[in-house]
Amino acid sequence: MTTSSRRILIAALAVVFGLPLVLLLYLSVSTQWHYPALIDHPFTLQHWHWLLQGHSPLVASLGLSLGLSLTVGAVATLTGFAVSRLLAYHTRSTYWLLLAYAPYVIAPVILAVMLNVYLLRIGLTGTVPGVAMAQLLITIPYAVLFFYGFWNERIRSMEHLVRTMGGDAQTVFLHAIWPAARGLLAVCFFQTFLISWFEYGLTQYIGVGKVQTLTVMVFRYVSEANPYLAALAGVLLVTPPLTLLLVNRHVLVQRIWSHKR
Amino acid sequence: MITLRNISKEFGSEQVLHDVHLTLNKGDTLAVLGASGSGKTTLLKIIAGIHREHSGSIHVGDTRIDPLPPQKRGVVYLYQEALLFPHLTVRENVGFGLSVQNAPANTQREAVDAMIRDMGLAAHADKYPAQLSGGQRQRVAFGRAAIIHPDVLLLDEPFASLDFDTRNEMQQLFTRISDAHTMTTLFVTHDAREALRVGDRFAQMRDGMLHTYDSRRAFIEDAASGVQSELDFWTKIQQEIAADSSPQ
Amino acid sequence: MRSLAITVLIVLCGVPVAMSIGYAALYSLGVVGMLGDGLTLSNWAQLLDGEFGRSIAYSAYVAGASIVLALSVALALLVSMPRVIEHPNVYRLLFIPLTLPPIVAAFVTYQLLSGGGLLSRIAWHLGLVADAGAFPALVNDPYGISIILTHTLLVFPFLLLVLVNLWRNENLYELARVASSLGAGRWQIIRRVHAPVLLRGIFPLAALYFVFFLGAYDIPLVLDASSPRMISVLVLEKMQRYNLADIPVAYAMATWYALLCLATIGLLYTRFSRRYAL
Repeated sequence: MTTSSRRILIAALAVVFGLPLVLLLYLSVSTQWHYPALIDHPFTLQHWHWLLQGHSPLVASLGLSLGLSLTVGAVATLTGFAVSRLLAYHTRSTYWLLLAYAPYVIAPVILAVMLNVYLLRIGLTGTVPGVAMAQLLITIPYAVLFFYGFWNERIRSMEHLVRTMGGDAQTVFLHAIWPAARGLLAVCFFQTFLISWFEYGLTQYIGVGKVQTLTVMVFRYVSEANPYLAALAGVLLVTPPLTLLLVNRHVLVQRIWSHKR
Repeated sequence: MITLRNISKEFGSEQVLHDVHLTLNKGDTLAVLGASGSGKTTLLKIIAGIHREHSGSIHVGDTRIDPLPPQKRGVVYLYQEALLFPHLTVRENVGFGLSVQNAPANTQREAVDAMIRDMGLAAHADKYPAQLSGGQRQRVAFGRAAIIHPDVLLLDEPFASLDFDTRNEMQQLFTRISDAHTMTTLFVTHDAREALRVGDRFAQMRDGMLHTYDSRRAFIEDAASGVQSELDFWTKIQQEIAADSSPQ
Repeated sequence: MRSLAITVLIVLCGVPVAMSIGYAALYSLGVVGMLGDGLTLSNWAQLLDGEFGRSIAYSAYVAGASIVLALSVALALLVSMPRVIEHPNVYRLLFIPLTLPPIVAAFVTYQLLSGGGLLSRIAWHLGLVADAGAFPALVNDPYGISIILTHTLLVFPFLLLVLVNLWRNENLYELARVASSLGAGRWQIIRRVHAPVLLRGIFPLAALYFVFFLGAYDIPLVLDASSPRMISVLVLEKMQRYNLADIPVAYAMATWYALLCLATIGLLYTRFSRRYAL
């Protein structure tokens, strides 16, 4: 009974979860999908050729998205790591964490609307640094919340132990902190990378359409009623997280939700 | 009364229980001594219905129970960890068995209040498990099991994780409640003194075989049980203390 | 060092939010901005005319329906077949939806559920509809069906993964055995042990997702009806329209929406942070 239930469930989940990816791929190799055909020939690789030959604006978008998300991921992770340590070691009350939740719970696009005037005043609206700064406003608090639970009694005891053995700050970091933290640093980096990678509304508003990340391009092609190029952009968007899924799926979900130390 | 006949169990190629026979009368407490890996937990799980594949038979009274699922056996298994329902208060935990059996509300209330008083938990009745100490949690678990008057109660080293004083208190509480409710109990422990304290019959699990003793004396005197050597050790300590403190 | 820690947190998190809400509030009150003529409550009064209220109510309905449906699916799957869900082949599949960006998920949903979408085509081949127009409106509809379904698809696998971890941490197999030995039947165990323990554990995450869905933008942008609209879409619409008089109203909506989110998270945190790991 369990084996047949499992097979049925696997088949059902594979269809439900796989269908979006299959549809994206199908549309990315199509130029037409006339109603009511389920599959409309001919298939073509012209969109992919166009992309791979570098003629498509999607190439620039891909490069921009990668650069932006890698930068935001790295800065947010390192900043969050440092700030969370400061907070965990030097405050007793976890109520300060409420401040970290504040930018995280307001919809990014609404935050962008309210924040835009300041970015406009310093000339960052419509620029990549402006979008990066706005994305950091939501990813840094996320990273602080992520790492807060890491700084527990055990880590503190390890640090004290290394210090009592004569270790300086570098030694403490290398032998007490880094071995325990490196896995989590990687997870947080990937997760903040994905927050930036997936972000549309805030990017569109602050970027004013000039910062054309892949998500912006998806919506542009949707608005232009070009589902084939939208699908192509979609395939490019899902490729990095799918790759992560194959390499180490746990980086996609691991979170530290407990703030009890 | 519970009777086990020819109970044997294998895990893969490993024979964990060999032909176990046992008869307990109503109200008996059988203290089973055994080291880790001797098969005592496996035996309890077979009686409770957690392990269903084994040879042999189990009867409670005239009813054969080994084909029955756990909830129909009248057997309650208490783990070392209290395993209280974290979302229910002490009162709700203790009354859980009565409520799933749809006992009348006033009967439930009276029985739960009486059991909570017996357990010494009246001041904690509305607390949640996370707010209790280890000993208090074990009391709740014990009360939850005793209130439904199971045919057989199985205790698997229930006090092993408690401190010395709390363990003593729990042993006394168990003996009192067990006698008051005439419960038939298998009490597994690796502590010889605990076995002597709680049991009125004795057995030892060795390499998957259950060795029962006719009397407490036989249990103590059997060198294989290791009880005598432990008692000798504590006697020697007492003598040394007495010698140290007596005036020269 | 304590002051430094708190100052850093305030600067990085508190100040940007305070400045944002502050400017939006002042603009909506007419104190700043190109249309600002001095303090006025007229823009806030316009929130009472129904559009804002309808939008918040609609957003709350979509958010609530999404999280309830996602949680129901996840719970139902787990309590009915826990060992099947824990099997590596099933467990691995649950990670796939985490790779879908919301904007792409919305696009795919449109291609699946619209009148010209895949489901409509299948219905045509089965003789259930005569043409694309005859297919029921599942996208851009007033009930938010496609938005709710998209949210559910994206979130229920993640909730299921969290529930599986909760199941293990709370020893639910053992608790079920205890309940069984106390006489509880299968449905009683699900209703009185599994469901309450799991719901209790997942409540903070579910509440957080409710707040996220409330402010959802990418998915409703593609799949929303013209009226009512979800709050984020409505605010952006008013900000980007040609009617300049809508801008202070948009800021008023943004202000009250942001305050509502902060109040909700503040309440959750203060009330439940000891009981749950928030």
